[in-house]
Amino acid sequence: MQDDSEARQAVWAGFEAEALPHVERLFRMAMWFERDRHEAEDLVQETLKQALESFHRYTPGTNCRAWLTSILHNVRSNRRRAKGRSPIVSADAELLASTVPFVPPVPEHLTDDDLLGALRRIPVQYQEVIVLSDVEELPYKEIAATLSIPIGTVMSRLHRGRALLRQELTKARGQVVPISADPQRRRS
Amino acid sequence: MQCRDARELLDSFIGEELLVETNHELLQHLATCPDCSAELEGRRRMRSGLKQAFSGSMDLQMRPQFADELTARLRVSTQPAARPAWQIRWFAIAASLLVVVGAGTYALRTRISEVTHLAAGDHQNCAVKFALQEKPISLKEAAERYDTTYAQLVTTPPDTVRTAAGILRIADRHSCVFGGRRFGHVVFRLDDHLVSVLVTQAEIAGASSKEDVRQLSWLPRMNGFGMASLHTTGHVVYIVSDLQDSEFRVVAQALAQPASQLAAFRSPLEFQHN
Repeated sequence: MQDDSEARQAVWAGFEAEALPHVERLFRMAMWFERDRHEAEDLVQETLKQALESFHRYTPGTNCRAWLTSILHNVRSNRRRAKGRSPIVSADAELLASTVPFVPPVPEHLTDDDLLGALRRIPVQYQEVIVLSDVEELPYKEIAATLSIPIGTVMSRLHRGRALLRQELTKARGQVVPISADPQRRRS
Repeated sequence: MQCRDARELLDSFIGEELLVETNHELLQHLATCPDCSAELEGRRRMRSGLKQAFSGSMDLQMRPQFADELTARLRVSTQPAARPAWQIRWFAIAASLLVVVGAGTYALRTRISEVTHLAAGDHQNCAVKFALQEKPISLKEAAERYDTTYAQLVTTPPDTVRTAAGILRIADRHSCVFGGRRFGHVVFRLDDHLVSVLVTQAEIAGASSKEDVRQLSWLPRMNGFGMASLHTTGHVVYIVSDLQDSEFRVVAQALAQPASQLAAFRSPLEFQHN
C-alpha cells in the first residue's frame, strides 16, 4: 500500500512539473475553439484528467505541450461527435479554399483585433492548423499527429488558410488589391 | 530559384521545416529579390502578430482561480476512493460548505500549496465524499499517538460559534489522514453547508516552522471553496468553505479567533526536546 502511495506521488510530481505549466496555453486554445468559458474549462479539465491517467505513456523530455494539445483535440473531436455536430472539415470549405483567387500582401499595420477577427472568419479547419503552427509553434509532424491528418494536408491547409487569412485582413482594412498587384500573379 | 518556388517555401522556411540544401537555395534567392524578402517579412509579421494577439486577448485568458481549482481536482483524483461503512454517518452532513483549518508553515510557497491541496482534498474526501482510505480516530487517541495538540480540538473551537452569517453548530470532531498527512478535523454545520477545521503539523521542521503568526491569510479559492489559513508554532490552520466570499470571510474570522488561542500547539518532537 505504501509503495502504491509512493508511486502515485511520483506520478503526480512528474505531471505537476511537466504538464501543469501548459494549462494557460491550453486554455487559450480551448477558449478560442469553444467560444464559451465553461466549455473551455471543462475541455481543459477533461484533457488534463486523461493526460494524468495516461501519463505513464508520456516520454519525459519530449514535447509535453504537443502531447497535451493532441489529447485536447481528441477530446474535443469526440465530444463533437457525441453531440452529433457536423464534421469540422466541410467540403464547401475545402472548395472555398481551393478557389482563392489571389494572395494579397500582408497589410503594414495589423492590430490584434484585425488578426483575431480575420482568423475567426475563415473555416475552422484552417484556423486549427494556423493556431497550431503560428501560435503554438508546433512542427508539421506534431500538427499532423494532433489532428490525425497527413503532413501534406497540414501543409496545404496552412498554405490555403494563410491565403484566406490575408484576404480577410485586406477586406477588414477596406483595401482592394488589383490582381495585377499580386506578386505571385505577376511573377508566375 | 524562381519567385513562385520561393513563395511556396517561405512558410516552411519560417517554420524551420526545410532541408539544409533547400534552405540555402532560398536564402540565396532572398538575398537578390526584394519582393520575396518583403513577402517573407509580411508573413513573419502576420505570424508573430497572431501569437501576440492570442496571448494578449483578454477574452482568451483563464480565470485566475482556474489553475488552482484544476490542480486541486486533479490532485484529489490521484487519491484512491473508498467508502467504508463508518462513513455513512457523514451523509447527513454532506453539503456545500467546507472550512479546513490546518497547521503548517509559509516558508516555501510550493510546500504550502501542497499542504493546502491536501487540506482541501481531506475535506472533499472526508466530509463531502466520505472516501477516506483510513478510518478516522478520536482526537484523544490521535493526541496520545501522534500529537498532543489534537487534544485541544476536543473543546476548541466550542460546539457553537455565533457569526454574523449564522450559527455554526458542531457536526463532528476526529483525526483523519489524507494523502499521507494527518489532520485534526473539526466539522461544523451552517444550515445546509459544512465547515471543516483541519489542523496539521507544519510542513517543514526548522526555524521557519516556529513562526507564530496568528493572522488569518486568505488563499485562492480551490475546487470552488474559499480557503483561509493561519499558523501557530509548528502547525497550520486552514479554513475552507463554499460560501460566497462575504459570508465565508465572516465565518472564517469567527473560527480564527478561537483557533488562534490554541497557544500550546506543540509537536511530539518539541516535547522530546523538552
